[in-house]
Amino acid sequence: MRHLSIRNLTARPGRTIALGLLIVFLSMALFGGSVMVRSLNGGLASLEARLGADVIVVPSSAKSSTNLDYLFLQGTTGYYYMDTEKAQKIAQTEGVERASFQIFMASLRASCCSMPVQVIGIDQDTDFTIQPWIEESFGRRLGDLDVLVGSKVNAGIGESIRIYNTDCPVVGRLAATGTTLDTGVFCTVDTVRLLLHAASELGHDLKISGDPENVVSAVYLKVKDGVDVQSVADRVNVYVRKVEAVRTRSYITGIADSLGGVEKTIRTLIVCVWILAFLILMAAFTMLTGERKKEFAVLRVIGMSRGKLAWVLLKESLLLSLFGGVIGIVLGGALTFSFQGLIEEALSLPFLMPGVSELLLLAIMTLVVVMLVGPMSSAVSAWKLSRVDIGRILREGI
Amino acid sequence: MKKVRAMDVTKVLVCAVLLVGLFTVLHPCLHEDGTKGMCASAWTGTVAVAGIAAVLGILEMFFENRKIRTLISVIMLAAAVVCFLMPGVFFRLCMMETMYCHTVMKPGIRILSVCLAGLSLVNLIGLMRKKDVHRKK
Amino acid sequence: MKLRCEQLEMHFFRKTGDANFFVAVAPLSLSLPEAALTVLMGRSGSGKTTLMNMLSGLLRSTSGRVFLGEDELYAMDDRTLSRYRNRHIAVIPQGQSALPQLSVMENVLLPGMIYEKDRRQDAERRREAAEMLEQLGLGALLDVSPRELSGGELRRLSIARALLMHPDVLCCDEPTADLDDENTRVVLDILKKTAGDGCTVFMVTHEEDAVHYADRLYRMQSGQVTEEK
Repeated sequence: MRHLSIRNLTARPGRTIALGLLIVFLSMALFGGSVMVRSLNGGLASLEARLGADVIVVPSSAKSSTNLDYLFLQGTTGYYYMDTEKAQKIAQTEGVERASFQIFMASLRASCCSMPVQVIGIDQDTDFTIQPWIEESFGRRLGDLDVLVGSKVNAGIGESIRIYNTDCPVVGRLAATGTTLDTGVFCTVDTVRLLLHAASELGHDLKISGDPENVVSAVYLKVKDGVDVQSVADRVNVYVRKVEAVRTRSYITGIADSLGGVEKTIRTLIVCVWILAFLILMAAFTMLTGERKKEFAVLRVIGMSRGKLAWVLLKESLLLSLFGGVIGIVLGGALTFSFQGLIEEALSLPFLMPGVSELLLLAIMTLVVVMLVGPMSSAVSAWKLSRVDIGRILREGI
Repeated sequence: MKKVRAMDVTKVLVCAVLLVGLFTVLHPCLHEDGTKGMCASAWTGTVAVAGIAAVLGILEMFFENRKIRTLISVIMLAAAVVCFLMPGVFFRLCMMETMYCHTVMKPGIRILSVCLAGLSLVNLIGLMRKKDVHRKK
Repeated sequence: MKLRCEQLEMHFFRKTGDANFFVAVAPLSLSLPEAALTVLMGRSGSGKTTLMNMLSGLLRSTSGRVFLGEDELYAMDDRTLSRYRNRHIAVIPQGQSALPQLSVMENVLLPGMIYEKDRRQDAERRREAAEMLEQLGLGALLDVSPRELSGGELRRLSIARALLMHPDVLCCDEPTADLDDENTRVVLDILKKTAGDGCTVFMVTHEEDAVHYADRLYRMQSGQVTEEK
């Protein structure tokens, strides 16, 4: 009696496996989908934290070769430069509280890595976007030629990255952000300038008009409190030629909208899967009712009450839900974790997997929902079976 | 007619899927100039081990002797573990984790290796239990 | 305890002639003798099984009352009645009634485990079940699945399951159907002995051999029951 539900499940392995697979699928869809939604939200929050600046100013030529989407979401490498004089003029725009600049360059595959990487040089004295992240992960200043790698660069601390015939020792690895900053290599502006010279000596055309010592790629502006950010961006666009000033807030809002669309799609898919699976489960349990009438009539004959009978059936669906739920969570988690790179690439949105504690919470919530839905779908047939007409079945003969 | 064991067939199928995958979807990174990436060694190693596992799986179908089948299952389990560790542990992959070998090749190989390892383990346990039943009798 | 009924009647809804129902059991007042084997004979469709179901608490009648001792069966709610039947009334239904997912031993122990919370009695119950199965010729089949048993063995399993609870009443529906002569004799002998041990045994059958075992004999035809001397 104590193990009757378990025996009922193991006695018909085909039926049990079929129902179990359905629950595994449900559980996978819910957990996998939830992890994806959380990862998208996490990525957006991370991007927002990393951007730091209110306005980013890039040369107008950057728009033709790249734009902020590519820089932060798709990591397309590029070269675009403006002279430092322009950068200083931008920094002096009315309403700007702080300004810092960065220099970008791209390595060649052959000289360094399996594919070209974005090298980002920062001014450690003035930077307020990437420097906090560096301090968080690394804790000290970078020396000449020292590089920090993003979490997705497969180079170990102590190894070297060779960029334009220059060996740059890897001194640290930064924490994941869920953006394409994770595929970047970070160093000081002096290091970038050294590398620009090295590239030039090797005969590469970096499309710099002027002295590499006097160029920057992007200027990051922090606006004073109380000053309208859009007005500062407009002023830069009006008074500084051949540059493009972008409000990061509007950029974030744009990404948030895209993300919202993707999230809505994922949630809709999850709901559809669940409704369909719930109906199929209900139909399956109902069909099995006819098959098991005689079995339950015997149990009633030997003195089992309706309540106990219904409980036997509900226990079966609870056990199915428990095991199916756990297997589904493990599979869903394994697939999402294994293919997160592919998912990120396909979505082209910031994507940062939640930490262990959050994953555990999502897993528990998924299991609770699955363990409610499983028994719910069998409730109707449990009720019907508990009211099986013993007299009629016994007249028909067991 | 010799009885075909479902477990043996399933293991061979998984090996076949892995091999077909390696020559289709689970290929190593290819650079623009046609050269293979650093991950090619991991790919080659996996092909070799998966091939050996497939051959062993087919051989197992023809043996009735429990000891031989146990040995084959143990080797297949080991092969599956080796396949799992091939990309990224035994052989380095390409430098960027956004590259194809990290996003598709490695997870694909690992998932199929886990399936093969799981099936081999279940088969092994089944064979060991049969041994216990024989002893009790 | 004496099993009796007062003005027990059963109608089923079915269009027959000018009426919307037919009478399965005509109004009947009956008292089964204690420690005796009562046999109810009749052709198929005469209402025997319906009467047995009503007397054993499995089927609520259209009207009338059923008593076991002073306890009125259908005055109890389902939970109380189920527990009562589990303890006092055993039923061996027609046909095969073993659960195939349980072994022979587990099938026999099943009624005793539904309400039993004391696990210390498990070992005692097991011992008793093993002895009973040995007596019924099933001692070597304790861990076997019912699927592997013959018709006669299955019937003896049902008897063992019923008797292990030491019921006051044992109701059997066609216990010798589908059995050969030897097994029929074995089953009838067991039922006679059970009655002799103090149990009220009520058997419905169309097996003529059962007449020789009956302490009291009734015949049923078209819902009407008459005692045969």
